[in-house]
Amino acid sequence: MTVIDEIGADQLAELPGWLDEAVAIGSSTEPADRAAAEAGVRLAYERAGLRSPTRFTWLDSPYQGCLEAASRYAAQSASNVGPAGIQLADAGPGALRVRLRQRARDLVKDRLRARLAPGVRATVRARVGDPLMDRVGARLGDQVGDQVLDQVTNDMRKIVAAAIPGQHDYWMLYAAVYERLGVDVSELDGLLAVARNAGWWWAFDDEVIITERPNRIRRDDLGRLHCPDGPALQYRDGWSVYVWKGGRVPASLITTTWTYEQIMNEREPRVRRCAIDKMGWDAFVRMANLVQVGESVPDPGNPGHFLSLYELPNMIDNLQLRLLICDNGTPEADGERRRFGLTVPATIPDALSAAAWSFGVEPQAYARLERGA
Amino acid sequence: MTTASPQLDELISAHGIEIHEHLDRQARIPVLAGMQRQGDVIVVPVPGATASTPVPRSGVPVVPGIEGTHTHALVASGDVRCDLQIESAATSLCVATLVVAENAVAYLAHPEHGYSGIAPGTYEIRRQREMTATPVNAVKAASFGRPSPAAMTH
Repeated sequence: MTVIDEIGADQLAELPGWLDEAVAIGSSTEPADRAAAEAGVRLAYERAGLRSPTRFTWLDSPYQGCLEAASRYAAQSASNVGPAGIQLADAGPGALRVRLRQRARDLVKDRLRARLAPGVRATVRARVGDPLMDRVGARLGDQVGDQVLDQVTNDMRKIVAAAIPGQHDYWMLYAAVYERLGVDVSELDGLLAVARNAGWWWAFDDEVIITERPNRIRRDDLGRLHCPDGPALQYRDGWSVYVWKGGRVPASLITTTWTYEQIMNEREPRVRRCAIDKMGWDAFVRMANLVQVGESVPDPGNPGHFLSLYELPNMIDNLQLRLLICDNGTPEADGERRRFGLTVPATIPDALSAAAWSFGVEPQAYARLERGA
Repeated sequence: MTTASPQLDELISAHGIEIHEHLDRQARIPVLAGMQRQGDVIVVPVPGATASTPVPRSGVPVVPGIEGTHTHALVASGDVRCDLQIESAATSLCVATLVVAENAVAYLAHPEHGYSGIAPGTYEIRRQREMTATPVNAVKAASFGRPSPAAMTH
């Protein structure tokens, strides 16, 4: 067996296009191709040495899928209880996932190690694997999983973990790139067919619960999930994920304007930060009647603009902080300067020191800043 | 050369990094030896700072875009050396050391902020920080839809 020890220039040039294709699969909002997905499931079972399931239950969202899968597992484990009430061998919700996905993945991983020089794998990982982990895994799959987890009881966490994430199965999409470099990854053919044609799914002995893809995805200009006036991710049954600049937030944070009390009462610091960012730090300073520390001072290198420091109640990130409000050094397209807030330790005595601290320089030196673009 | 203030459009055609359309392309870009800031990055004169890696024609991404944000790139006109401080970047604000030789100019270029000229001298390039519960560059913890980070090691 030959070892592939380098990637040709032509293949290297193809990597960005292959990445884009994989991201497009992970981000697809098309209705599932049910026939193709079911064929993929059957193939996955066959490749794992299992009898193909005969029943396919299609649902519209991972949330519905999770609830349905939970009821199946509940029925299954009830039937596994023997006459004396003793639990019979219960493989647990994740067992078939391991059989179908984990084993295929391990086989392929071993082959990739054997067939490809470390440098080749490192290149493909850096140019395709890592971006896919971020753009499909972290930005889509994780957000969906976290939202489902928020809405189900603790004992259902294992059902969420037993899902095979279909289009969000970024590792499968990454591994498929190696096929184009000439490595056999045929163990993954079935799983990949599902990933290319459907959303999350759950495997049972004779049945598969399988779900549709979302029908709406909204992003900001930095490519993060984001929608200021509706769900950033929505499925065909209306199940939604609300996201502010990449961070998942409660629906009401997006659909209404949170009051000062709502912000103060929010328990998760990250979410408070999103709520404040949405209204603007400047507006928050006014609404919260924050107490200013000292006078506003001219922003060095940014003529006509000022730095202001405020006391923050002990509520942002659960740290003792002060808030520096400053203007961006470069105007936006509409000529306005974006105003933003920066949190600094509560021990910082004044606005100039706060700006200097943010760059780790002495206040006297920062005061002589020659340009702030 | 260090006293000249080139026009923005000359720099764009010389170095290839495009900037947002609303910025004035006829603006003169001063070349400064003192401390200067470009958005969330600051250039600090540091006597005795050293750097040995020549800045290639295509430039060096001193602060690569994270989460889709724009990159602060360093480009050079003449003999400019820049060593990226990759190891220390997680714990220190310093992302690079910079040495601009006599008669050379370095520019920090960023699509939103334009070009910032840096005169001959020795410098550190630092990132801005704020005080939060999680570090600036916190790597997201693994969860679902994907295997553990270790799975990415092959």
